[in-house]
Amino acid sequence: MVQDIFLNETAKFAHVFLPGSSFLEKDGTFTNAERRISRVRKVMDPLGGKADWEGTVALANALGYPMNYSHPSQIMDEIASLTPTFTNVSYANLDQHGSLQWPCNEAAPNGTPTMHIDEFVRGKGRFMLTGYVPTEEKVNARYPLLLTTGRILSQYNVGAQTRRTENVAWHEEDRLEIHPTDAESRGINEGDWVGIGSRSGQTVLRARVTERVAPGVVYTTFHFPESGANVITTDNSDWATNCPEYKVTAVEVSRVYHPSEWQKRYQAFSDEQQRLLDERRQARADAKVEVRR
Amino acid sequence: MSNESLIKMANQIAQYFATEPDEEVAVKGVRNHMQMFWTPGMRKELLALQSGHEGAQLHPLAQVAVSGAGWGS
Repeated sequence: MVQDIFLNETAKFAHVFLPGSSFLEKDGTFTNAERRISRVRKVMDPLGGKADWEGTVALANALGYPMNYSHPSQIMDEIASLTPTFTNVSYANLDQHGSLQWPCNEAAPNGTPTMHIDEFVRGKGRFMLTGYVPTEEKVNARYPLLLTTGRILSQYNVGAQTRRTENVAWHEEDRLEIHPTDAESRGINEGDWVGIGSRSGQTVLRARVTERVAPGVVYTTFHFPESGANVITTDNSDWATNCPEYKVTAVEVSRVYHPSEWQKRYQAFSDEQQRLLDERRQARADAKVEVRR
Repeated sequence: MSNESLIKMANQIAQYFATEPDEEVAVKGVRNHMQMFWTPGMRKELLALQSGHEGAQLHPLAQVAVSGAGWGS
């Protein structure tokens, strides 16, 4: 089950898709990284029919767990009754102050702009020794280049939102950036289709020959799902945070003339999902015409 | 979770705490992480691995952290 304001990539795997509401279509609050809770007010009714909280209420009721909220302020009241750092948070209090920073309770009725002024909960803090731990991912004769992946300003992650905009004029495809020396020794020219293979998988992108990358390093963005950038990255991740190691993958690059097997499978799957969606839309449109008759 | 993944994760945690000069603190660090962030099932599986012949693949700090944790009782 997927809920979103766009039919994103994950939606292709969903059995059920629920419409989401944007920040302009719902009442509620946002809490930012400085613990500041601010009100959000809708300027229009949700195009999908329900604000997100209404969707959650309807789903809970359908699944047999009754929820009877009639306004998001009641949900905030429940949060305040259960969360010691939110005791004094209410829509009335938020309206009065404009915004509030938690902890906001009897000890700090108007919120807490700065925390840990004299010391942390544990005292003055704790310093840890951290030794350098090299990655297990190593280049060798078979995979002599290091791939690093990253973002570009004009697209956001896999582009579910930004690929729908004029931003594609700035970045219309993911390319593999490769240094002229590495390109020349492999017979690769600007714009050639190149296969990128790692111990994990293979994909195909067009090459951009550039001195922006150092010899021995290749780089690509991951803003287009069909690029399959994460088909080639490894499963390595940081032990404490599980942050994936997307910046270091040993690869080899060569000229090719066909998409990778993964890309062929992805395209077939994606086309099939689009066909099913079109069929369903057509069926609904036909049914509406039938009703009007 | 596969035995290989469990051992890899345990060894990464141990490798991090290996820079701590006080071994007792280091052992506690490894054990605490597993107690706070691992599921009971993962801890049980790792204990079984440590007691069996695959335990040899575990970092010495992970060995001590697991064997003295009392997870078997």
